Amino acid sequence: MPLRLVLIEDHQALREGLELLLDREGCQVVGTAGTARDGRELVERLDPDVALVDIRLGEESGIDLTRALLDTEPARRIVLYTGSSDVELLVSGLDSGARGYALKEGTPAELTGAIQTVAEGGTYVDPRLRPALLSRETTQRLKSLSKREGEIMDLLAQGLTGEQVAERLVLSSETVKTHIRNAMAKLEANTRVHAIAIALREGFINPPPEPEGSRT
Amino acid sequence: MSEPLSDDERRRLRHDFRTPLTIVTGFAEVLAGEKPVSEADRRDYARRIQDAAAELRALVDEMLGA
Repeated sequence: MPLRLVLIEDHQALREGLELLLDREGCQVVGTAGTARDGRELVERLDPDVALVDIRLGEESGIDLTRALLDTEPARRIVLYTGSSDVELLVSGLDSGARGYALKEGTPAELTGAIQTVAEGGTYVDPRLRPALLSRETTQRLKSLSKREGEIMDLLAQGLTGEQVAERLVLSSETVKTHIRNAMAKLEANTRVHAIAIALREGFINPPPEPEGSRT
Repeated sequence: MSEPLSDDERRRLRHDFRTPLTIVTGFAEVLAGEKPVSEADRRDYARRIQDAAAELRALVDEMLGA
Protein backbone atom coordinates (compact mmCIF):
# COMPACT_ATOMS: atom_id res chain seq x y z
CA MET A 1 0.00 0.00 0.00
CA PRO A 2 1.51 3.38 -0.92
CA LEU A 3 2.51 5.71 1.83
CA ARG A 4 -0.10 8.45 2.52
CA LEU A 5 1.41 11.91 2.68
CA VAL A 6 0.14 15.42 3.40
CA LEU A 7 2.29 18.16 1.93
CA ILE A 8 2.35 21.64 3.47
CA GLU A 9 4.33 24.14 1.38
CA ASP A 10 3.48 27.79 0.74
CA HIS A 11 5.18 28.06 -2.67
CA GLN A 12 2.48 26.91 -5.08
CA ALA A 13 4.77 25.81 -7.91
CA LEU A 14 6.94 23.76 -5.55
CA ARG A 15 3.86 22.29 -3.87
CA GLU A 16 2.52 21.11 -7.23
CA GLY A 17 5.96 20.00 -8.39
CA LEU A 18 6.61 17.98 -5.23
CA GLU A 19 3.24 16.31 -5.58
CA LEU A 20 4.26 15.08 -9.03
CA LEU A 21 7.80 14.15 -8.05
CA LEU A 22 6.79 12.27 -4.91
CA ASP A 23 4.01 10.52 -6.77
CA ARG A 24 6.62 9.27 -9.26
CA GLU A 25 8.60 7.92 -6.32
CA GLY A 26 5.60 5.95 -5.02
CA CYS A 27 4.13 8.27 -2.36
CA GLN A 28 0.41 8.96 -2.40
CA VAL A 29 -0.08 12.67 -1.72
CA VAL A 30 -3.54 12.65 -0.13
CA GLY A 31 -3.70 16.38 0.52
CA THR A 32 -1.77 19.61 0.08
CA ALA A 33 -1.99 22.97 1.84
CA GLY A 34 -0.28 26.34 1.46
CA THR A 35 -0.87 27.74 4.95
CA ALA A 36 -0.34 26.54 8.51
CA ARG A 37 -4.05 26.77 9.27
CA ASP A 38 -5.13 24.73 6.23
CA GLY A 39 -2.29 22.28 6.85
CA ARG A 40 -3.32 21.69 10.44
CA GLU A 41 -6.94 21.09 9.43
CA LEU A 42 -5.84 18.69 6.69
CA VAL A 43 -3.48 16.64 8.87
CA GLU A 44 -6.07 16.35 11.64
CA ARG A 45 -8.76 15.29 9.18
CA LEU A 46 -6.76 12.93 6.95
CA ASP A 47 -4.36 11.48 9.55
CA PRO A 48 -1.61 10.73 6.98
CA ASP A 49 1.33 8.37 7.56
CA VAL A 50 3.64 11.39 7.32
CA ALA A 51 3.24 15.16 7.00
CA LEU A 52 5.95 17.00 5.07
CA VAL A 53 6.06 20.56 6.42
CA ASP A 54 8.00 23.49 4.94
CA ILE A 55 9.78 25.34 7.72
CA ARG A 56 8.75 28.72 6.32
CA LEU A 57 5.09 29.09 5.40
CA GLY A 58 5.04 32.71 4.29
CA GLU A 59 4.93 34.72 7.49
CA GLU A 60 4.01 31.61 9.46
CA SER A 61 6.35 28.99 10.90
CA GLY A 62 6.32 25.31 10.02
CA ILE A 63 8.06 24.67 13.36
CA ASP A 64 5.13 26.23 15.26
CA LEU A 65 2.74 24.16 13.15
CA THR A 66 4.71 21.00 14.02
CA ARG A 67 4.49 21.82 17.74
CA ALA A 68 0.74 22.41 17.47
CA LEU A 69 0.20 19.13 15.60
CA LEU A 70 2.26 17.17 18.12
CA ASP A 71 0.52 18.83 21.08
CA THR A 72 -2.74 17.23 20.03
CA GLU A 73 -1.24 13.93 18.79
CA PRO A 74 2.36 13.22 19.86
CA ALA A 75 2.61 10.10 17.67
CA ARG A 76 2.28 12.08 14.44
CA ARG A 77 5.16 11.66 12.03
CA ILE A 78 6.40 14.95 10.67
CA VAL A 79 9.31 15.70 8.35
CA LEU A 80 10.43 19.32 8.28
CA TYR A 81 11.54 20.49 4.85
CA THR A 82 13.80 23.48 4.45
CA GLY A 83 16.06 25.34 2.06
CA SER A 84 18.22 26.51 4.94
CA SER A 85 21.04 24.67 6.66
CA ASP A 86 21.04 27.35 9.34
CA VAL A 87 21.94 25.63 12.59
CA GLU A 88 19.67 27.70 14.85
CA LEU A 89 16.72 26.79 12.70
CA LEU A 90 17.83 23.16 12.70
CA VAL A 91 18.05 22.95 16.48
CA SER A 92 14.72 24.68 16.85
CA GLY A 93 13.22 22.29 14.28
CA LEU A 94 14.55 19.25 16.11
CA ASP A 95 13.28 20.62 19.43
CA SER A 96 9.78 20.80 17.97
CA GLY A 97 9.56 17.00 17.95
CA ALA A 98 9.68 16.50 14.17
CA ARG A 99 11.09 13.05 13.32
CA GLY A 100 12.78 14.12 10.13
CA TYR A 101 14.71 17.10 8.82
CA ALA A 102 15.23 17.18 5.04
CA LEU A 103 16.91 19.81 2.88
CA LYS A 104 15.43 21.18 -0.33
CA GLU A 105 18.74 20.60 -2.09
CA GLY A 106 18.27 16.84 -1.73
CA THR A 107 17.04 14.77 -4.66
CA PRO A 108 13.42 13.56 -4.93
CA ALA A 109 14.68 10.03 -4.19
CA GLU A 110 16.43 11.23 -1.02
CA LEU A 111 13.30 13.05 0.10
CA THR A 112 11.23 9.94 -0.51
CA GLY A 113 13.79 7.93 1.47
CA ALA A 114 13.48 10.39 4.37
CA ILE A 115 9.68 10.18 4.30
CA GLN A 116 9.79 6.38 4.07
CA THR A 117 12.21 6.14 7.01
CA VAL A 118 9.99 8.31 9.19
CA ALA A 119 6.83 6.47 8.09
CA GLU A 120 8.44 3.22 9.27
CA GLY A 121 9.10 4.71 12.69
CA GLY A 122 12.70 5.80 12.09
CA THR A 123 14.29 9.22 12.20
CA TYR A 124 16.12 11.23 9.54
CA VAL A 125 18.51 14.17 9.51
CA ASP A 126 19.95 15.20 6.12
CA PRO A 127 23.64 14.18 6.08
CA ARG A 128 24.56 17.57 4.58
CA LEU A 129 23.76 19.12 7.95
CA ARG A 130 26.80 17.60 9.61
CA PRO A 131 29.07 20.64 8.97
CA ALA A 132 26.41 22.92 10.43
CA LEU A 133 26.02 20.68 13.45
CA LEU A 134 29.76 20.47 13.95
CA SER A 135 30.21 24.22 13.71
CA ARG A 136 27.62 25.01 16.34
CA GLU A 137 29.15 26.67 19.34
CA THR A 138 28.30 24.86 22.50
CA THR A 139 28.82 25.77 26.08
CA GLN A 140 27.26 22.62 27.42
CA ARG A 141 29.49 19.93 28.85
CA LEU A 142 27.98 16.68 27.75
CA LYS A 143 28.65 13.31 29.28
CA SER A 144 29.96 10.68 26.87
CA LEU A 145 27.70 7.91 25.74
CA SER A 146 28.51 4.32 26.70
CA LYS A 147 29.71 2.05 23.90
CA ARG A 148 26.27 0.40 23.66
CA GLU A 149 24.42 3.73 23.69
CA GLY A 150 26.70 5.05 20.93
CA GLU A 151 26.13 1.90 18.90
CA ILE A 152 22.36 2.27 19.20
CA MET A 153 22.39 5.99 18.34
CA ASP A 154 24.58 5.16 15.33
CA LEU A 155 21.98 2.71 14.02
CA LEU A 156 19.12 5.16 14.69
CA ALA A 157 21.06 7.80 12.73
CA GLN A 158 21.14 5.36 9.80
CA GLY A 159 17.34 5.32 9.86
CA LEU A 160 16.68 2.06 11.72
CA THR A 161 13.68 1.88 14.05
CA GLY A 162 14.01 0.83 17.68
CA GLU A 163 12.66 -2.61 16.77
CA GLN A 164 15.20 -3.02 13.95
CA VAL A 165 18.03 -1.93 16.25
CA ALA A 166 16.92 -4.55 18.80
CA GLU A 167 16.91 -7.21 16.10
CA ARG A 168 20.32 -6.16 14.73
CA LEU A 169 22.00 -6.13 18.16
CA VAL A 170 20.11 -9.17 19.45
CA LEU A 171 18.64 -7.23 22.36
CA SER A 172 15.09 -6.92 23.65
CA SER A 173 13.07 -3.88 22.56
CA GLU A 174 12.81 -2.80 26.20
CA THR A 175 16.59 -2.85 26.61
CA VAL A 176 17.01 -0.75 23.48
CA LYS A 177 14.36 1.70 24.73
CA THR A 178 16.19 2.00 28.05
CA HIS A 179 19.51 2.71 26.29
CA ILE A 180 17.80 5.34 24.10
CA ARG A 181 16.19 6.97 27.16
CA ASN A 182 19.56 7.05 28.93
CA ALA A 183 21.33 8.48 25.87
CA MET A 184 18.64 11.14 25.50
CA ALA A 185 19.00 12.09 29.16
CA LYS A 186 22.80 12.34 28.85
CA LEU A 187 22.50 14.43 25.71
CA GLU A 188 19.73 16.55 27.22
CA ALA A 189 17.62 15.85 24.16
CA ASN A 190 13.84 16.06 23.93
CA THR A 191 13.40 13.64 21.05
CA ARG A 192 15.32 10.84 19.35
CA VAL A 193 16.10 13.03 16.34
CA HIS A 194 17.40 15.74 18.61
CA ALA A 195 19.58 13.18 20.41
CA ILE A 196 21.00 11.96 17.08
CA ALA A 197 21.76 15.54 16.05
CA ILE A 198 23.62 16.22 19.30
CA ALA A 199 25.47 12.90 19.16
CA LEU A 200 26.60 13.68 15.59
CA ARG A 201 27.61 17.19 16.52
CA GLU A 202 29.63 16.02 19.49
CA GLY A 203 31.29 13.29 17.45
CA PHE A 204 29.87 10.47 19.63
CA ILE A 205 28.63 8.75 16.48
CA ASN A 206 29.54 8.83 12.82
CA PRO A 207 27.32 10.50 10.22
CA PRO A 208 25.43 8.20 7.85
CA PRO A 209 27.21 7.80 4.48
CA GLU A 210 26.70 10.68 2.03
CA PRO A 211 24.16 9.88 -0.69
CA GLU A 212 25.78 9.21 -4.03
CA GLY A 213 26.38 12.35 -6.05
CA SER A 214 25.49 14.77 -3.23
CA ARG A 215 27.47 17.87 -2.48
CA THR A 216 29.19 18.38 0.85
CA MET B 1 27.69 50.98 0.62
CA SER B 2 24.55 48.96 1.28
CA GLU B 3 23.60 47.77 4.77
CA PRO B 4 24.76 44.22 5.62
CA LEU B 5 21.94 41.69 5.70
CA SER B 6 20.54 40.57 9.03
CA ASP B 7 20.52 36.85 9.88
CA ASP B 8 16.79 36.69 9.27
CA GLU B 9 17.11 38.40 5.87
CA ARG B 10 19.85 35.95 4.91
CA ARG B 11 17.64 33.00 5.94
CA ARG B 12 14.74 34.39 3.97
CA LEU B 13 16.93 34.89 0.88
CA ARG B 14 18.27 31.35 1.09
CA HIS B 15 14.72 30.07 1.30
CA ASP B 16 13.55 32.26 -1.59
CA PHE B 17 16.36 31.07 -3.85
CA ARG B 18 16.33 27.41 -2.92
CA THR B 19 12.60 26.94 -3.36
CA PRO B 20 12.55 27.45 -7.16
CA LEU B 21 15.97 25.78 -7.40
CA THR B 22 14.40 22.66 -5.89
CA ILE B 23 11.94 22.60 -8.78
CA VAL B 24 14.73 23.01 -11.36
CA THR B 25 16.94 20.28 -9.91
CA GLY B 26 14.07 17.93 -9.07
CA PHE B 27 12.54 17.88 -12.53
CA ALA B 28 15.92 18.02 -14.30
CA GLU B 29 16.86 14.92 -12.36
CA VAL B 30 13.70 13.14 -13.48
CA LEU B 31 14.34 14.12 -17.13
CA ALA B 32 17.95 12.95 -16.92
CA GLY B 33 17.03 9.76 -15.08
CA GLU B 34 16.39 6.28 -16.34
CA LYS B 35 12.67 5.95 -15.55
CA PRO B 36 10.63 6.54 -18.71
CA VAL B 37 8.81 9.89 -19.00
CA SER B 38 5.86 10.35 -21.38
CA GLU B 39 6.03 13.10 -24.00
CA ALA B 40 3.27 15.08 -22.25
CA ASP B 41 5.06 14.81 -18.90
CA ARG B 42 8.39 15.79 -20.48
CA ARG B 43 6.81 19.00 -21.82
CA ASP B 44 5.09 19.67 -18.48
CA TYR B 45 8.35 19.17 -16.53
CA ALA B 46 10.32 21.36 -18.94
CA ARG B 47 7.71 24.13 -18.54
CA ARG B 48 7.99 23.90 -14.75
CA ILE B 49 11.78 24.22 -15.01
CA GLN B 50 11.37 27.27 -17.28
CA ASP B 51 8.94 28.93 -14.85
CA ALA B 52 11.22 28.29 -11.87
CA ALA B 53 14.22 29.60 -13.83
CA ALA B 54 12.26 32.77 -14.64
CA GLU B 55 11.48 33.19 -10.94
CA LEU B 56 15.17 32.78 -10.13
CA ARG B 57 16.11 35.34 -12.77
CA ALA B 58 13.63 37.83 -11.27
CA LEU B 59 15.12 37.25 -7.82
CA VAL B 60 18.66 37.80 -9.11
CA ASP B 61 17.58 40.97 -10.94
CA GLU B 62 15.89 42.23 -7.79
CA MET B 63 19.00 41.48 -5.72
CA LEU B 64 21.31 43.23 -8.15
CA GLY B 65 18.91 46.11 -8.70
CA ALA B 66 18.79 45.39 -12.44
